[in-house]
Amino acid sequence: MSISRREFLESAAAASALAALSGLPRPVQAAGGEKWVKSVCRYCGTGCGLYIGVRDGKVFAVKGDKDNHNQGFLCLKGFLLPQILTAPTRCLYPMIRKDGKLVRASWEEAMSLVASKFKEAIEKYGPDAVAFYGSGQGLTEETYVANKLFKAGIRTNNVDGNPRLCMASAVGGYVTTFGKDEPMGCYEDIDHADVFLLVGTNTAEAHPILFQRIVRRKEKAPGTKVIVMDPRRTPTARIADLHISFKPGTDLAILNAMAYVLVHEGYVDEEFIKNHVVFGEGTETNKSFEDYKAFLAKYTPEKAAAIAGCKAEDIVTAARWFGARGKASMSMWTMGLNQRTEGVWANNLVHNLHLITGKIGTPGSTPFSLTGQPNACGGVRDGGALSHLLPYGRLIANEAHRKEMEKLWGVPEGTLKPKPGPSTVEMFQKVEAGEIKCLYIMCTNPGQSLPNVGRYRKALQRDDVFVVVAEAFHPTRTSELADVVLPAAAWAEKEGVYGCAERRYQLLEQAIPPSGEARPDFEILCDLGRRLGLGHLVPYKTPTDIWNEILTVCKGTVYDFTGMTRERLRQAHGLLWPLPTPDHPGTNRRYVKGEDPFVPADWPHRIKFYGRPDGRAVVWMRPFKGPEEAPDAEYPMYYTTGRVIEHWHTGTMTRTCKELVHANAEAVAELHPADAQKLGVKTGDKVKITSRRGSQVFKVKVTDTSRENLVFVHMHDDQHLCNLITIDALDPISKQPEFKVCGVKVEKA
Amino acid sequence: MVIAGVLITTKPGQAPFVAASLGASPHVQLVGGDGSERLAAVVSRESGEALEAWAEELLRDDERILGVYPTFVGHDPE
Amino acid sequence: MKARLLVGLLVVLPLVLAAAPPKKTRAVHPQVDTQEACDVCHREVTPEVVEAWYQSRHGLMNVKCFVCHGTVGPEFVRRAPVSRCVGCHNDKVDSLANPFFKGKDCFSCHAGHELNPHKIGGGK
Repeated sequence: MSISRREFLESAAAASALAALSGLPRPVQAAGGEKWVKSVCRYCGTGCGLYIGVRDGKVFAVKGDKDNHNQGFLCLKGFLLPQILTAPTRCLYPMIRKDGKLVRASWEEAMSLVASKFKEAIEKYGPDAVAFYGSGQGLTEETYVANKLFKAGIRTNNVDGNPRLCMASAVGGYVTTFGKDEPMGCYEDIDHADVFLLVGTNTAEAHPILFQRIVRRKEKAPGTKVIVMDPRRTPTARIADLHISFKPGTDLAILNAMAYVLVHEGYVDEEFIKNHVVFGEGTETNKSFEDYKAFLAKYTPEKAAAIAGCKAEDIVTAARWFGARGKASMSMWTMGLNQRTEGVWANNLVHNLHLITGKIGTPGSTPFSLTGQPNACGGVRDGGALSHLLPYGRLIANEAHRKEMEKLWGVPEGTLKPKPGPSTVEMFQKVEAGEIKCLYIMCTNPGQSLPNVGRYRKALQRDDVFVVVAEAFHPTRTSELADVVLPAAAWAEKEGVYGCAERRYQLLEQAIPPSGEARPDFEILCDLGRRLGLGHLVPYKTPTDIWNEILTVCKGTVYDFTGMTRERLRQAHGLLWPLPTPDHPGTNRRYVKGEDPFVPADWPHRIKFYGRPDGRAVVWMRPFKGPEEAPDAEYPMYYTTGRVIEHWHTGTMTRTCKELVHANAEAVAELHPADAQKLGVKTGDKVKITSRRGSQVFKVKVTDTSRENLVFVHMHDDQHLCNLITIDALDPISKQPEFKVCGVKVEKA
Repeated sequence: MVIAGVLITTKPGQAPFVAASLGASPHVQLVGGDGSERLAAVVSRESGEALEAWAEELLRDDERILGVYPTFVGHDPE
Repeated sequence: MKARLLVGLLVVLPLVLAAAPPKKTRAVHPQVDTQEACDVCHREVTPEVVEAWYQSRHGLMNVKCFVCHGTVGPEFVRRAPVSRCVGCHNDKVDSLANPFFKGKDCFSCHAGHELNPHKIGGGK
């Protein structure tokens, strides 16, 4: 019997309607073999917990984890994450460059080529002819394997990562002031703070879920004050009780002037200073409070205001709010302070405000650095995968630390080289100079993200440099320059640990198998290790094998998280180290007696800054120093770069989401109306922005949220490279580049 | 012709009365219900727009109807 | 054929999902050749909608238009399905299973672009 199409449709319609009688249609909650897998957002360093919804082997949705710090909320990028997995730009099979073109190859062909090139370079020129450039987005286990393979196996300290471009100055700030890296506070401090000092951070767009937590605090406690210090009136300034706009690169003067007000108006906690603080200048801690007062005399609010182009009374107000007795004050900052040639100093000056007022280590009072990448803290900073570091606070330059690691890694004494390797920009300069012959780039996009990127793109294109890119996406502005592209498993396709800004470690469970022929990065690295004859150092079969080894490496350091077994991570919704035993709850506030397991119970004070030998933190006298390249007659405008909420980093992932390519995807030049008028341009016109390093044409957006004589461009557009213009000058301590300030000329195009 | 399966939800206890009034309509064929607040129906209209208009009308004009949910939409070129 | 069914469903779904009387507007957003944010145009064409959103909690937290409405073209949805709420409000979406909420979706109670918590409006 045949039925007509009409009959078929009617019966299908009836069946579906009848089926729906038993319950409302609930697309994301429907039954049928679906599961929800616990994970963490792939994007920023906030580290929001989420569940990945899987149906028929595919990720169909994500939902926030309400048992995690984000209380179930996700920002718009996180919500759209499932789309990245099936993007047409997913890298699904290995590729090798043949006759100038990247063509499909087998894993065997690609890996044997990589291994032979690495072997050849090492034999011919020594281990320092090869290098690894990693990422604050790799999983902790992956970064650990790379670090061990290169430093203990190949025996080169040519290991650095993109956290050098974003967090190095925060590290430098914490280490110089407190002796150890990583914030002492936590997200929960937000719920207790009465005053927020947000300096050089557009929290609303770069860390939306933390911004939301600040908003909720403000709603709950109406007297809460929010101070936003940023040249631009960003969306963060919407909740500001005081927004201080200033000339880029002059915040050191403002921060010193705030300290001046605190000292001169009696907001100082003398008792705290007596018990916990020393004063220093340069690298010596041999100064006194009196010396510090004398140093601050140069930074009256009036003088600072004249340098910074802001109002003196605003500086006074900010200081009074910050210092008010009985109020908890929390500072937060990110790239505005870090991406600077005096980034470490700027960090020191924020810490100073907390130390002289004693507003530190109590609920709501803490200097809290916000992190840009999901595992910059956990994988690269803590894991020690930078050119001067070894895992968990150990230093390459420290002989005892090297010996300890050699023992832990089971390699002969003297294996680890004593000389730190090059920092990121220096590493690419070594590529440029032909000293580095083989470069392995994992999970990052330096062909777009380096400062003065035109220079380093040329370096990567040298005929005698062999570039391997392990990436989940292709093409990127880096993989397009590669000699071999290795397809890496993406988020949700592999398992591992991320550590976010508040020392919170969380397990991302695998939800689906890798796409195409992709493999998790640790497997690729172990494969390379075997091919280089170093398989005994990287014998891992699973990420758990690696994690169990990591637990032995962190033991006995101040990072100690030995209690974070794989099983405990699987059960938990994030754990904060130190966490030295399986029954330890984790540490919300470091250095605080009663919370931090490393502060002895009989310590006479509430805090012990045990990171430094004398148990005291340092108030550093850091004079105002301007940016490396302030505007001048030839390049008269300030140029700065940053984020927008819709996109992330180089856009490799966010630009694959259909909603997001229609939202702020193109980098435009944001100009103040007065500047637009001078240039004779309006929104939609084009301008050519030129610095001493390069130029790029952008569409104009005229907005009064910009500051006069400042042009802002976002960093996420692979077609309009903001970094052709930025400067590759480095902070002398952190070696972080000054992305945030340089001089440009702007012409109508 | 667009053929759709729809779930109609009503105020509690109103479904049988709504069914009675919908039954008169030439392009609605009732196929089931829970006897209280849910009805299953097959609707055929000349186009998607007409289907939308029908659903809008229903929601606007009948106080007893709370929601009209499509469960299936097919297109018959005849 | 399959594609056609899908398009049909996408066009119809958002309008008839509504328990509230839907307005007579087309459910398909025209394709636009722009990489700008939605509110740039909509400040001009639907200023009251943009302002209501901007003053809402979603506006303050930068939960932008496309999170609920999808993108332009056939992907656009006029009334967001609960699948677009579930990312952040999954416990609330779960509560819709309660018989009290039969026939309702999130917007039956959290109306308009203000989406105020616990204010009834718009629905029946």
